[in-house]
Amino acid sequence: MTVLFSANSLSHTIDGNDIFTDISFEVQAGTITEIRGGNGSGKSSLLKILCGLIKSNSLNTQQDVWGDISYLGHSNAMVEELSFRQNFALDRKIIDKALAQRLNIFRLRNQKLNNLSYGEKRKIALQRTLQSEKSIWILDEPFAGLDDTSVATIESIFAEHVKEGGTIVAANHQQIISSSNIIHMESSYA
Amino acid sequence: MLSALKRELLLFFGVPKNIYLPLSVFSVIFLIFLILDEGQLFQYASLFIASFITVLIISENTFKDDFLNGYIEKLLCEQSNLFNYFFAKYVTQLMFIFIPMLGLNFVFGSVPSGMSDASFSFAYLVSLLTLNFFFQLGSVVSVRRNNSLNALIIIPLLIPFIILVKGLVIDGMWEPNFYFLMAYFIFGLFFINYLTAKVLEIQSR
Repeated sequence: MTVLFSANSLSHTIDGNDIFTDISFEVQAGTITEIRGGNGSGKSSLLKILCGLIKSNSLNTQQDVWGDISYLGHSNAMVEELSFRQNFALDRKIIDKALAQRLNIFRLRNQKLNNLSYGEKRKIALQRTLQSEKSIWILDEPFAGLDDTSVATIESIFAEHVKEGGTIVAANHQQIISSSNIIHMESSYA
Repeated sequence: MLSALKRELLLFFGVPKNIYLPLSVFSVIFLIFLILDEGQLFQYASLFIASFITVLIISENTFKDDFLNGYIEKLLCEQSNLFNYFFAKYVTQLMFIFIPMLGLNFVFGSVPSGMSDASFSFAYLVSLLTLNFFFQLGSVVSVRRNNSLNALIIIPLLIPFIILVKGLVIDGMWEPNFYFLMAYFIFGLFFINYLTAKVLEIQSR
């Protein structure tokens, strides 16, 4: 299997504080990798290292991963004053009706985001990644604010993506995603 | 680049405050000075002061919303070209804010004597864009702290710019002010925008 990312003794420091130290792992193509750990253990920072936003010499990356990443951070990267449909139009995308119906958000297509609940907004942001043509999905707390039914639906979509050869790396501290590889993070704070 | 431009156009029309807020601020300040009618010098100075304050307000909002909602972080994490994004922002600002500001000046104000309308328009638009580049750098430095006045930290870099724009827009002296303005513009376009991109990258980490 192709190794997309590999890290050997990876460490990260913010303002002189070690966030995590000596982490080693591999992320293979066609798998789900979960990054698990408590608050402040550096899950989001590790995702940003994988994306190349934070540079690290301890991370080896396949050249062709750049440009093939779809990223969803803590924030949804959407304009609250616009509707679901208008937000997709900003990215030159049309809502995938079948996917939106699976996520139970198609009915919200003409509502402005600032009138929706946190979970609904999160599902809309997730849909943008889920219908992306990019094969590597890097997700920060994708299940935050979602109900059990939505989590189960998204897990099944994850499984379909991996089956088609896609790769998912997700920071998660909610229920474990089935058949995922896990990177455990421990905070280095004393 | 085209997709970034389409996004900005949709955003400008989808969120109308992006257009009417800066134009309202400009109009109110500009017209208040005109109503006071203190003579020619004051009239040209009103254009300069109104433009200065308007660009300060625009620069504060240019990247703030996209930074706070995570769009810039997404762009950086997906290795998208930040310069296409900048270019799209500037083109929309030029079309929907700066050119209407120029139009308002032609309707209510006047052009300095000894300067053609075309020369004045070009110099004015270049000076607005240049001012915008510098203020944006000032505002992204403090984008996390949400303090609009932080854009003013860049003012020391703008002292020569203010002097030469005064010579150009108020006194109507084309040479050598216009050449210095173009030097400032090119410096801002490449170096200041490069710094702005780097600061946004650091702030997104």
